[in-house]
Amino acid sequence: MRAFHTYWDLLFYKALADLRSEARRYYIAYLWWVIEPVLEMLVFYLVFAGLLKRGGPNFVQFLLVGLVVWKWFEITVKHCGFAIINSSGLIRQVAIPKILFPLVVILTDTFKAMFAFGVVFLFLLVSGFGPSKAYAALPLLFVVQSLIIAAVGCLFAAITPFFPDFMLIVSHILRLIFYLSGIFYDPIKIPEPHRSLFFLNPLARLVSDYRRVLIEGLWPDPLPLIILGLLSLLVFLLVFRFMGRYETIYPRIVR
Amino acid sequence: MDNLSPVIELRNVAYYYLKRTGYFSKEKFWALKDVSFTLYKGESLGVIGRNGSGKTTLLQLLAGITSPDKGEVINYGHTASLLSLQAGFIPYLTGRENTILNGLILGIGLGAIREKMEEIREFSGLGEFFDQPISSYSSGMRARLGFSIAFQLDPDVLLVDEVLGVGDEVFREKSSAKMKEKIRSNKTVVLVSHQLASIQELCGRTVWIEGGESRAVGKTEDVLKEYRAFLKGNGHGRPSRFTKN
Repeated sequence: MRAFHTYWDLLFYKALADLRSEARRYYIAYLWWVIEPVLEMLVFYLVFAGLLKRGGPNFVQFLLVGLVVWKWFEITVKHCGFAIINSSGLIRQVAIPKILFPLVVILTDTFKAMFAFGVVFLFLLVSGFGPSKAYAALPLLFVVQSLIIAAVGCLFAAITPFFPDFMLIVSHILRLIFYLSGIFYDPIKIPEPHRSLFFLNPLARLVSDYRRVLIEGLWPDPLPLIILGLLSLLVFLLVFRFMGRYETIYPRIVR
Repeated sequence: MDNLSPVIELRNVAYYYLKRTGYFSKEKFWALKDVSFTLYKGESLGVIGRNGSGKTTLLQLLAGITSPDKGEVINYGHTASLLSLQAGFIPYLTGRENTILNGLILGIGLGAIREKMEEIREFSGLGEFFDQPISSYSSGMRARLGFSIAFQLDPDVLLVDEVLGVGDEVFREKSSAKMKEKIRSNKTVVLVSHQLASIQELCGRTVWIEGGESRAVGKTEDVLKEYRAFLKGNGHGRPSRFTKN
């Protein structure tokens, strides 16, 4: 067995290498990490605010915050699903912990998501929604969302080699969750008892907490967030153990 | 083999792959059926056998990448690594960056890689290309870089799958000379090769794998004699996967 810190070095260097590689592939390189989310948001803005004339005041802010939170989750867990499969060549040549592959994806995609968050923060600032005291709750939100992403992402990465069709199903489930997370509508309008059910969806909860902090300048209810974070951590640890146990099975099934 | 301490021992090892035969049905294909031998400290063990006889699977088991379905692979506490070239290379990164990445993947520590960086650059003979993206390399140049890095790997047991020398004429000679030097040293090495001359030259003992079974284990000259007689007698050119036992 190798020393633990060598895996740590590998994790961070591989993430850095992937980011560099991606940046060098394009003419305007790093700029894409800003432009891409802007374009994405523009599309939603045009359709929902421009064309459908949806929402009241602050709808643009409302939409952008929802989107940036959702996109960080969606893109990362989708990429994670392919993390081990895409490294099949490597897996058959070197004995390395498979959990590293989704973790690298989480690092790179999270890094890129921070640019999108930057864009949203900037927009909030210029449109008069500057930082408030409630911003102090942001680290908690980021940590909880990272844990959710780690749990779901690593779970997907662990499953797909056994069942490659899984990611095809997942993309539909993710779309369903997207529609059920109140990204482009206000869940306040959902009548009870459906609304309570609605907020059982972790992403819906997270999105509305981000909005509470960033747009309304109010504190989120910490208890559900902490429970969510701990649950995600538990799932992550279970997946970690599972992958550890089946470490030598992956090279056999990933072909 | 004055020193007879076992490093890795295989006892009746069997290993299968799953072959898809229909929508929900899979069939087991036994790549290895019954392989037993012991690898001793400091020796160079040759592995021979026809295509598809299970040699690569065997190396994966020795490296701990996979585990057997039957039998046992007993590792007496040693690190064993496959000499894999260009594992995880990223085209848009420079030779230097890929050296760090590849080194980390192979298990050479960050400190050791940085220390050896100049040596690797020198040996690869890439000159200023070393700081260019490897997407601008020819396949020979990539192979040279891959070899130069992998050669720095120093596990207790080195598993070599056919790679003795790579690249153009000059580099091939240089790299295979280095490789042979390493194999002849006190290092424990398992060498898989179709080049029987190399096996004869480098390995004291040899295992012959046929149809997933260890047919013969022993002194290289004896095993090679048996193997050559077998090749003459039957199965010429026919992949051993399909031979019935």
